[in-house]
Amino acid sequence: MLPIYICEDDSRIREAERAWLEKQILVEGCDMEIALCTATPEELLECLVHEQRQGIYFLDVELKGASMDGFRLGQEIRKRDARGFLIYVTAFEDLAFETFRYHLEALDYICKQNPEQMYRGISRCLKVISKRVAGEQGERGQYFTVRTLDVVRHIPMEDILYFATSGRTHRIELHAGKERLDFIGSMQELEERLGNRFIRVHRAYLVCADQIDYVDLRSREIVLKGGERCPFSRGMRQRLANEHPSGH
Amino acid sequence: MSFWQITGFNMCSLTIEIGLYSWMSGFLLSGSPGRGVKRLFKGCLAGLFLTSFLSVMATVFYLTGVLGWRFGVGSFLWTYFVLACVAFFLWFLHGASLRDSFLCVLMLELLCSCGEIVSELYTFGNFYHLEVSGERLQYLIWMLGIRPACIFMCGLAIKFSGLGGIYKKWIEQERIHRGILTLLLIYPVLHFGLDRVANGSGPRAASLMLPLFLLLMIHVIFVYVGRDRQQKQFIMTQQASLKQQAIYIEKLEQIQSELRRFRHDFKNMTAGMYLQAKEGDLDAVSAFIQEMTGDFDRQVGGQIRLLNQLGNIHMLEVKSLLLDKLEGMQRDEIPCELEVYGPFENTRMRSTDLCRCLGILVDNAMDEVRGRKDARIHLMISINNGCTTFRVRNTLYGTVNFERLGTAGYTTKGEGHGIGLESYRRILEKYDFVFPFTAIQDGCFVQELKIRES
Repeated sequence: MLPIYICEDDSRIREAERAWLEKQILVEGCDMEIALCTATPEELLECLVHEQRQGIYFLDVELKGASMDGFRLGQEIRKRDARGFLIYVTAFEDLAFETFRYHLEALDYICKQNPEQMYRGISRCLKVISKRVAGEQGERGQYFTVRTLDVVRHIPMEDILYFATSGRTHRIELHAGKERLDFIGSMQELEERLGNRFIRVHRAYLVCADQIDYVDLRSREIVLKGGERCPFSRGMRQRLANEHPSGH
Repeated sequence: MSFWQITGFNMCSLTIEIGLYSWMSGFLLSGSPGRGVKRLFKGCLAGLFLTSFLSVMATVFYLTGVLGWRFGVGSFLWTYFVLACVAFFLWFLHGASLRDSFLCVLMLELLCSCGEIVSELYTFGNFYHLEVSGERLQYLIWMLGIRPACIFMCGLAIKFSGLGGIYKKWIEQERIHRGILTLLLIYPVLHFGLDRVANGSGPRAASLMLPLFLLLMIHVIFVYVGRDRQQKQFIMTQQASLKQQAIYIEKLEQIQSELRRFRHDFKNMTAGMYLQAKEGDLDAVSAFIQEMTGDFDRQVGGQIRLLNQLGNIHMLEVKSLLLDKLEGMQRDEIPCELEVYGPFENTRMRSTDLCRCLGILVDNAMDEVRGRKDARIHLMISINNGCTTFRVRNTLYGTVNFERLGTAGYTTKGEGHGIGLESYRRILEKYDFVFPFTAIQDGCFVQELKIRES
């Protein structure tokens, strides 16, 4: 059962949210319960100290008289519940939601100026969450998690083509099917972390074995399934020729 | 004196000299040497290695007679060799670019000359025979005491007079004035040459005024060119500011005219609502309020939102660039949203480079969506945990070849294009603290630039 937490400084809105959520849980038969309905962020964070479950959080952005705003509260929640669902309920139409989504992986934001719109938003969020939770239970893919300064990114392992060293010190480039990013790390650490699924074909390249289409022995390059090419070292020639088809 | 005795003396003098250079380089280069214990340890280790290496090399140069080559060729070779080694050391220590580190070393060489020349007043007219213990002692007092003290005083003067800040800006500028660069590069040769011409090769008897005069001349040219550049920059800043103000006024006028239109509609609508309220039709009144807030948001809210977000950008160059691009998008009827979370004051990346990068990203986004249906561009600037993030997201209509992205000539726009992202990549190569990210997410092309500020 997923616990729902509400943090809202306006008591009328708070009660309206609670009432609507309770109604929705009953009507839709969601596996959820309201765990806390509060005006103070501290109370919410206190409540999370011993909580292990993934939660759903309806948070106000501007918490009047509180020690932190919704963004800061979101950051604190993320430290305790990395997979929880954050939904911001705001009176501001000009909420920097992309920033919230980017830094906090917020699910959605709901405008509370209009009660009807707010109720519709809450129902929409509950549906999305139920669907996601069901999906997560059905299939759990493997992800490569990497931190780039202030954000943590999760890249599906099956999308990763190869890692390459960049000209800059301790800089690694990750090449995936639909992503390319730089991060700080070392090839040796990566090689140890990723295991046999990736082959160190060259001092500067760590390639996903499943992504190799064929080996071009003449130009001493590996051709990946998407057409990309990576050089390989002389010492790898024999192994690659044995394990993968060769071509020109 | 034996090889190791000479090396020992060299070690002492070079340790002091490199220590002073490292200290003074902190005034001229961005970045902090010794950030964290590990880094500090690495810096000390590198310093120790450099000092040992140069000490041995100096002894070899001395004993093999290279330093005594005719016309001072050996001395020049040694000077430039040391400068190059110290430049590499500063590059390692500060994490600044190699170019900046080399410029910094040239500048330090010039500045240290001031202290050195002053210290030479002590040795003026004397020639020390190092084999004679009394003279050797005097030489060592000068070499290890008076000379470093004078250079140290020079460093303090640079720090507290604010000269360091001016020189730092000079080093950080993208295009260095060729005349000054040449003067800086040949300064050791000039110094040596003029000294020889005036004083001869024997014991010093003539005036010290000539090298001092040369130093003064270089400073005068430097200050003159620097001022000229500063004035030009000031004029450019003023022009940018005026342009910004003009755009702001235009936006405010647009808001005013939209408010006037809204006021007209509002009067008509409130008249209708008054009647509905009188008749007790609460549903109609509530529908009216919804409609009115929606109308207000459509007509005026967007512009106010945009101005609010722009108000968070305090870096003039970036603000000007975005205003220009936003105007272009409005002209081309491209819907765009801007989010600036928190006041954006400044960034470590050179402003010209940052603007070039942002310009390339936004232009590419505009080219992709121009004239398309349901197009959208979203720009985000966020400041969080000591990082500044710039993010450009646009609806994607074609496909992107990730492998060729950023390589020369790759484009999705046809002939004559494909230069932007290559330049973008080249610019970013200069920065160790900038992390790019490119992705296709939910049918959108996302380009991101993340800068570590501390």
